Amino acid sequence: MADAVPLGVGNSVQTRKPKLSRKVKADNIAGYLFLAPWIIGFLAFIVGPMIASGYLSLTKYSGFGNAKWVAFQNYEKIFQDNLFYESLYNTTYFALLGVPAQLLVALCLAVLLNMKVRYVNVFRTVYYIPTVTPAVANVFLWVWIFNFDFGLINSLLRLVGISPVNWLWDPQIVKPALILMSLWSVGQQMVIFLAALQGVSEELLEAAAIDGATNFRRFIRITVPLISPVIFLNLLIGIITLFQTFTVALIATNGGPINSSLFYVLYIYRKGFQSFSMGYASGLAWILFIIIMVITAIQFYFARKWVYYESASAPG
Amino acid sequence: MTKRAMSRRDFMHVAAATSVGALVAACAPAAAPSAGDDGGGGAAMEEVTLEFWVNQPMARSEGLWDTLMAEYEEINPGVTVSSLIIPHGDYEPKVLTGLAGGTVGDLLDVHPMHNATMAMRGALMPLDELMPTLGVSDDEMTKAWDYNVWRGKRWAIPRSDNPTIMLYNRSMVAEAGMDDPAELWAEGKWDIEAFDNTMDAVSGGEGEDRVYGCALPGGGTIRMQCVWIWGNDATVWNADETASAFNSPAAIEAWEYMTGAVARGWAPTPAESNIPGGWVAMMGQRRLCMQWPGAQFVLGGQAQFIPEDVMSEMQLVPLNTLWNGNREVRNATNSHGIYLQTDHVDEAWAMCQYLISDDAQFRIIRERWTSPMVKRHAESEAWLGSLEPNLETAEMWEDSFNNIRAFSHLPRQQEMDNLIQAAKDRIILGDATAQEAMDDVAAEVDAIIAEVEVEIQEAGL
Repeated sequence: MADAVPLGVGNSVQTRKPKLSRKVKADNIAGYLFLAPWIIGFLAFIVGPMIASGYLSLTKYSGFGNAKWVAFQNYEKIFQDNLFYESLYNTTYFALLGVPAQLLVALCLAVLLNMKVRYVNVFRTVYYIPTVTPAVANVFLWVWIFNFDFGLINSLLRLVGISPVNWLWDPQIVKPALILMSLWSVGQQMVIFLAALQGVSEELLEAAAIDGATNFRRFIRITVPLISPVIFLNLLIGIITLFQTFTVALIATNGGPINSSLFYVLYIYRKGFQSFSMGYASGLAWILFIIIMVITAIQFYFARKWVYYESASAPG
Repeated sequence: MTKRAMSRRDFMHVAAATSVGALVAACAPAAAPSAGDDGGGGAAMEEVTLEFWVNQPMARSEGLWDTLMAEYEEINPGVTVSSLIIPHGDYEPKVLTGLAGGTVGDLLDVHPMHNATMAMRGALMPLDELMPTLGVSDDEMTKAWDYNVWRGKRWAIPRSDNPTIMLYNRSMVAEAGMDDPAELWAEGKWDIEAFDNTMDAVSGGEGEDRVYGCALPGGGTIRMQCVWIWGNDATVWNADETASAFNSPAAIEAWEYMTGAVARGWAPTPAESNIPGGWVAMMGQRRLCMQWPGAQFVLGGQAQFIPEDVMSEMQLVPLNTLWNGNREVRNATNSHGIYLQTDHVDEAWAMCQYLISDDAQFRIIRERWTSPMVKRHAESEAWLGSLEPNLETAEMWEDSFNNIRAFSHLPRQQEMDNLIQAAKDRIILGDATAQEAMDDVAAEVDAIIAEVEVEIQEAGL
C-alpha cells in the first residue's frame, strides 16, 4: 500500500488521479450505462415526485390550474386536524402491535419449516401461498372469516357457547382484528428468516448441545443472536410496511367504524384522490416520511446494542 | 465459415446501449394518432376520432355499447369512436387526474357524484345553448334530467337513469305472515308503517340463519340516506347549498329512524353487509329480504348473480311512502358531458343527440339499462315489451320515475360523506346521540362547503 501523503498548511504536494486505462474507462462507461435505467427511474419516479410533493405541500393545489403558494398553511391545518391525529394513532397502534406479532409468527413458522421433516417443501409452499395471493382476495377471505353472522370464527365461538364478537364493527376490536388479518401474509418475512436460520452454524449448535444446552437455550443464545441482523431487517421493513397500510383498511372497513381503522395512508388517499386537496395530502405524506425516517434512525441507533454482525467482530 | 465470437466487453456495450435505447424509446411520448391513421391508407375526407371516456358499469352490457357506437359511426361517417372503459370506482380520480394533465376524452361520462365536481374543475362545457337542438323538449323530460343541472346550468345529457325501486323476496314476506307489498301498493297502503311491520316480521334469527329486512336504511351513503331525510320534510343542504341542513330537528328524527333500523336488527351494519357480492349475494342467499336497486340492476345487471330459484321469488314494488306521505325516489342518472377544451364539439354533440334518440334509447331500454327518461318512451313497445310480467308492471315504474327527486351532489361530497357516515356509526354504536353526532359533523362539513364555495367562485360559477 502506498504511504499516506501528509496533509496540512504549507504542504503543497499535488495529488494526481491515477490515469485509467481505456479498458477500465470503457468498463466504467458500460457499468454506468447498465445503472442508467435504475438511476433514471429513481430520479424520475422517486426523487422528482418527492421534490414536487415537497413543493406542493407548501401550496394550495387541487391538481388543476396553478398551485397557489401558501407557505406552511397546510401544515398548520394538518396539526389542527382531528383525523390527522386519529389516523396517526391508528397507524402507530397497528404498527406497534402488528410488527412484533408478525415477527414472532414469521420466526416461529420459519423455525418449524427449518426442521428436517417429510414434505417440508410442501409446507413451505403452502405457508408462502398467502403472500403471493392478491391482497384483495386475502382481505375478502378474512372479511368472511370475521363476519358476525356466519363467519368462521364466530361460528366456532357459538359452537362452544361463547358470544360472537363483532370483529369489524367494534371500535375496540377492529384494529386487533386487522392485525390478526395481517399475520396471514407473513410469508415474505418467514422466507427471509428461513434463509437466515439455514445459515446458522451447525457446529456452534452441536457444541452447545454437547455442553448440555437445551433446545430453547440454544435457540435464544445462539440462533437468535446469529440471525439478529435479519430480525433487524424484518423489523425495519415491517414498520415501514405497516405504517403504509392501505388495502386492508380500504376494503375490509373503509376506515370505520367511527374512523377507528382510518389508517394514515388511507387518509392521504382520501385527501389526495377523493378531495383533490393535493397540497394537503402532500403535507401529510411528508409528515409520514419524516416519522418513518425518525423511527428508522432510532432503530439503527438501538440496533448497535442488540444486532450482532459476525464480520464486525471477527479479528481483522 | 468463420465464426467471430463477440467479446464480453462488446456484448456489455451492446446490451447497455440497447437497454438505454429501449428506455429512451419507452419514455418518448407516443405519436398522436392522426386522423385516418387506420392502416388502410388515407381517407378522402377529414376523419375524426372521438374519444369517449366511459364509466364502465353504466355503459357496458354485453355488446350493447359496441352496437351503439357502431350505429353512431354509421350515422356520422368519418367519425370513429374510441371508447375508454373505466371502472366506476376509479372513474373520478382518473378523469380528474387526466384533466390535470390535459389528456381526457372529448366526451366524459358524468355520474351524479361527478357532475358538480367536474363542472367546477372545468372539465365540462355548459350545454344550455345547445339544448334546443337536442331533439327532446323540456316537457318531455322526466325528473331524471334534473341530476345534470347544477348552479342553474346543464352539464350533461343522460343516456340511462336508475330510479330506485324496491326488490323483495315475496316468499320470505309470505313466510313471515305479512301482506304482499306489491298488493299493498296497488291498494295505496304501502306506507312507512307497512314497511316497518314487514321489516319487523322478516328480520330475525341468529348466526347462519340470520335474516335482515333491508340493507338500507342505515347503511351506505348520504346519497341514499337523503330519501329518509326528505321523507320527514327535511333537507340535506340548505336552499342555496351553502351549508348543511342534515342536523335540523326533522332530519335528526330521520337519522334516529335509520340508525334505529340497525339497532332493531332490521338492517345489517356495514361490517355485516361487507361481503363479496354485497347485498346481491345476501339476497341470493335469502339472508336479505328487501333492497333498493336501481333500474339497471334489476334485470340489466347484478340481478343475474341471484340464483334462478331465488330470483323466481322476487317481486318489484315502488318505495313505500314516508312520514310526509310522499314517495321519495333517488336516481342515478348516467350521463355524458362534453370536455370543455375539445376540438370536436360538433361530433360530441352529435353523440349526445344520438344517445337520447329513439333508436338508441329503445336499444338501451330493451337491454334494461334504463327506464324511460323521455316521457313518450314510456308508451313505447320497446319499454312495455321489455317488462317481466312476474316481476313488475309499467305502472310501478311510472310511479317510481315520476317521483324522482334530484339530490345535489356537491364538489368534495365524498369527503363530506365519509365524515357523515362516521357520525352515523357513532349513533349506531351509542357513542353519541343523533343530535350530538350530526351537530359535530355539520360543523366540519360546513367548513368543507365554505372551501368549496371559494373554489366555485374562483371558477366563476
